[in-house]
Amino acid sequence: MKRALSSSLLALVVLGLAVAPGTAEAKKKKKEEVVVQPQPLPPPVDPEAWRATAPGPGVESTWQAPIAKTFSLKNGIPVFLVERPGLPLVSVRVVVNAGREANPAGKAGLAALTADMLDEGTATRSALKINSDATALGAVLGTASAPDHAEISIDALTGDSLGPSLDLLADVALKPKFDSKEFSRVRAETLAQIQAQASDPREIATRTFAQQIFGSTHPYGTPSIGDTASVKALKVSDVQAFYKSWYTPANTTIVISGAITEADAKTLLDARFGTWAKTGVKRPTVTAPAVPLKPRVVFVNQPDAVQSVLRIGTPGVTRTGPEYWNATLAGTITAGMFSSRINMNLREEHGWSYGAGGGFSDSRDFGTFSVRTSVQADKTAESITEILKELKAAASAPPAEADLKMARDSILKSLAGNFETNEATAGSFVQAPQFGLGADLWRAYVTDASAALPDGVYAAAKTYFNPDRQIIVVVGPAKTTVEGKEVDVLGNIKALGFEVVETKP
Amino acid sequence: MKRALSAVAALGLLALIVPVANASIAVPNLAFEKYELANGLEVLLSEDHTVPLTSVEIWYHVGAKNEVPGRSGFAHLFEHIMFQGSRDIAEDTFFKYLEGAGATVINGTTDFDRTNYFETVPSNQLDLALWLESDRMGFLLDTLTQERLDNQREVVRKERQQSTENVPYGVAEEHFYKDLYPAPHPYNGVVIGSHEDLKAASLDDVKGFFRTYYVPNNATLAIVGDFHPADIKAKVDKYFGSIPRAAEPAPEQITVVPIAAEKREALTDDVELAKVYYGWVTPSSFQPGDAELTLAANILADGKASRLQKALTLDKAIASDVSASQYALQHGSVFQVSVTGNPGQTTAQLEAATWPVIAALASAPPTKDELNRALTAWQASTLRQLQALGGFGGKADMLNYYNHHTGDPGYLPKDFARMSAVTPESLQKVFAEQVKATNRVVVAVSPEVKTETPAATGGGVK
Repeated sequence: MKRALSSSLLALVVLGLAVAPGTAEAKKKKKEEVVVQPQPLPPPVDPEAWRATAPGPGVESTWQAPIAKTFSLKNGIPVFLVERPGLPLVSVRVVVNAGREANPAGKAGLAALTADMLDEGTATRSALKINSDATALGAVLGTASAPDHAEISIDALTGDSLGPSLDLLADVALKPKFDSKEFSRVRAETLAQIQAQASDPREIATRTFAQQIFGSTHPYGTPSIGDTASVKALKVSDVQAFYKSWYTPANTTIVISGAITEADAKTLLDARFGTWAKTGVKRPTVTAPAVPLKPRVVFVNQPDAVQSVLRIGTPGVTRTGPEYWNATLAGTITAGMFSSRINMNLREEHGWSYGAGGGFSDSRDFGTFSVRTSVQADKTAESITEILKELKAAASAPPAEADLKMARDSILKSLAGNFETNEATAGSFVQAPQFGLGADLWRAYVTDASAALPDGVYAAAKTYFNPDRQIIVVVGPAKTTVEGKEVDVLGNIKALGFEVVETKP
Repeated sequence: MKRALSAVAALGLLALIVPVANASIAVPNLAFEKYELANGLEVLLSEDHTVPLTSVEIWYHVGAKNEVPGRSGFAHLFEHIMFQGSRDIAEDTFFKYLEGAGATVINGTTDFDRTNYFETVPSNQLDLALWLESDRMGFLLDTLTQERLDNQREVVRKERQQSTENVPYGVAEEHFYKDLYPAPHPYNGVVIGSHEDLKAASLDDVKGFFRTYYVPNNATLAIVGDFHPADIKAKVDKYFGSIPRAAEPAPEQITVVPIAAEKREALTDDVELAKVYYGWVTPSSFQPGDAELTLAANILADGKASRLQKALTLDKAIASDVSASQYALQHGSVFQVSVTGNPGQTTAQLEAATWPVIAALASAPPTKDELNRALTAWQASTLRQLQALGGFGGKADMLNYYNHHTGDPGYLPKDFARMSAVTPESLQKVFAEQVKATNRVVVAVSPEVKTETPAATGGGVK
C-alpha cells in the first residue's frame, strides 16, 4: 500500500519535471493552469510513469581499499599480506624482478622460457609429479613472465594441504632442475607456439605495434616468448645463468591473500623461503627506446582476411610518473569504456566493428597508449579516419565535467571489484613490488585519481592523442570484395596521406 | 593449527619425497532463498558482505535451442538488442548508466540453452541495476526501431567475423557442431549463426521472440552480495512486480538423433599447425553418465600428468596443445577432445597417437589415484568459483546454472555427491558406452600449403 502511494507521487513529480525544472516551480505552474483554463479531462495515469527517472544512488559504503600488512622473512624478503577470512582458500604470488627487460641482447624469449622451466622438474619432483601433486592438493600452480617481473603463483586450500602446497611452491621457485631433456621439449613447445601465433592476426598486430613503438632490439619491442631465431639459439645454460642472476631473495617479494593470519603466514613462509641464501643483485635496468616519433602506417597483408586488425597509438606514461592519472583519465574518456567515443563511433554509429577499446598501459618503465579494434576490411581507411578524428577532438578541448566525472567514477567506484576474490586481491598487490609502491597503494590510488583536474587531463590528451605522433598498424587484406565489388583497401589507406610501410608478419 | 604447522616444518624434507595426500574438501555452504513473484518471475537471493558490491544476474530460459530453421543466430542477435534501450532507457545509455555507477562485468551471453544478462554494481546502486533490467524486461518493444535492429545486425556480423572467421580454427568449430547435431537440431552450428540467417531476421521476428520468451515467467533473477535483507523483496517487487505474466512458452521439441556411424571431415585453413577435433553426443546435463564424462575429460587432458598431455606433449612430443571437456547441454551434451600438433605433424599422425589413448579409457578403468585427483580438481575449482559474486562463473551464475538445469539452485551439495559417487568402474562403463570409434565426429584441420607472395600484393589471388 505504502509502495503504491510513493509510486504515484513519483509519477507526479516526473510529469511536473517535464513541464519545468524544479519540483516547486512545476507544482506552482500546474496550479495556475487549473485556474485559467477550462478543466480538461485528466490524462489517463500511467502507473509505470515513475520509471522515467533513473533511481539515484543510495548511501555510499564507507568501505576503503585494504592496506596490506607487511613483514619480512629472515632473509629480508618482503611480504604483503591481505587477510580475508571466509572460504578456506589462499592465493600466493612470488614476484621476482626477472621480466623480459633482463634479457641479454639477442636472447629474446629467455625470461619467459626460464619462468616456463620452473615447474618442469626440481631436485625431487619430475614435471609430472609437480603437476599431479598440485592437482591432488586441490591447488593451481602457475608461472608467468611479464616485461618487468616474473611470477610463480599458487592458489591453494587452507588446512592440512596448505603446508604441502607451499612446499610445492617453494620447491618450484627455489630448486628448479633445468633438466636438458625437459628443456628441449619446452623450447620445442615455445617454437610451436611462435609458429601458431604467426597465423593469428591479433597476435601479429600486437607484436608489430610493440616493435614499431620500441624498436625490434628493445626488450619491450620483442615478443615475450621471443622469435624463432632467438629461441632456437637458446641453451639450457642460458636458462641456468638467467635464473642464477635474477632469481634471488633480494629480487623477490611475496604477496599473499586469503584465510590466513599474519602469524601463520610468517611461520609457513619463513620455513620455506626464509632460508634462501641472500645475494646482492638489484633489479635489471632498461634503457629508453630510441625510436623517432613520426606518424606512419605499418601494413601487414593478410590476403583473405575478412577484417583488418588495427592498433593505433604512441609511447605513453609510467605508473608512478606525474602524468599517470591525467593520461589514464583522458584514455578512459576517449577509449577505455564501452560508452567511450571511439567504441560508440565504430560500433554503434557505423556498425563496422564488434567493438573498440584502448587506453594507457600500466607500466613501470615504458607504457604505451593504444586504440585496439578489428573492423570490416572494406572500411579500414574509414575506421582509421574516424579513430584519428575522435583522438583529435579529445585533444582540442578540455573534457566536459560530466565526461571526466564518469571516467573517474567508472574507475574508482568499481575499485572494490579488485578485491572480490583472493586471486584478484593478490594480483592487485603484485603492483606494490612491480611498481615500487607501498602497502597503501590502493588508498593512494583513490587520492591521486581524485586530485586530477580537467586542465591536466586536457594537457595529457593534447600530448598523447596528437595525430602527428600515432603509429597505425593494420593487419588485413590489401584488397577485398564486397557484394561482388573489389575494394582497394591498401590504396584507400595510402590515400590518407601517411607514410605507408609494408611489412611481413 | 599450530601443532600441524610445526609438524610440517619438522617433516619438511620428508614431505618432498612422499606422495602428497589428496586434499579433503568439505561441501561448501551456499546459503540462498528462492521465491516467486505473482507474475512467475523466479528470484534467487544470497547475501555476502565481503565487499560492498551486489551482483544482478538474470537468466532467460531461452537460447539457440529455441531458434527456428532459417534463423540461426537469432537468440544472440536478440541479446544485443536488449542493450539498445527500452522505454525509459534512451538509446546508447544502458552502458553509460552502469559504467558511470562503477559497475563491473557488465555483459550478456547467449548459449544453446539459455541467455543471461549481468552486472555487478556498488551495493548503493542496486536500484539502478534493477531499474535497467526491469525496463528491458517490461518495455523493450516500446522504442525498438528497424534502425536499432539493423545496427546490431551489423555489429553481430562483425562479431562473427572476429570470433569465427578471423581466428585460427574458428570455422572448424562451426563444422564440428554441424556434424554433431544434424538439422533440424537447433545446436546445428555455432550460436552466432550464419550471415544469411542474420540478414533475414526481421523486426517482427524480434517482437515475436520477445513476447514469447522474454516474459517474467520464463526468467530467473539472482541477486547476490551486499544487499539489505529487510527491503530486498520490496525492491524486487517494485521493479518487476508489475510486468505482466504471459503464456508459458511451449517447451522445445527436440529430438537427438544418435550418430550411427563415424562422420569425418578434412578441412584446410589458414593455420600453421594441424588440429584434430573428436566429438560425441553424450547424456544431457545432470543425466546419468554426465558426471563420469566430466571427470573423464579431466583424466584425459587436464594438466601435464593427464593421459593425453603426458602421451602427446611429453612422451612423444608431437602435440602443442590438448584439451577435453564434457559440455553439458539440455538436449545432448558434447564430449570433446582436441589435439593441436607440433610443427610438421599431420592430422593422420596426430590421430594415430591420440585414438589409442582415448580408447584405453574404454577398455580399462582409471586408477583410483587418477580418479581422486580429477575429483579433487573439480571440487577445488567449484570452491574457488564461490569467491566471485557474479559474472562469468560466480555465485549468481552457479545458482542460476543449477536452477536452470535441475530446478534446484541449491544443487551444490548434490553435485558434490554426484561427482563423489563416480567409481573407476562406472567411469569405464559410461566411457565405453558413449565414446566409440563408430559414433564419433572427427574434424581434421590441415594448414594450407602456402605459396610465397610478395608482401601486400597477394590480394585477390584466390
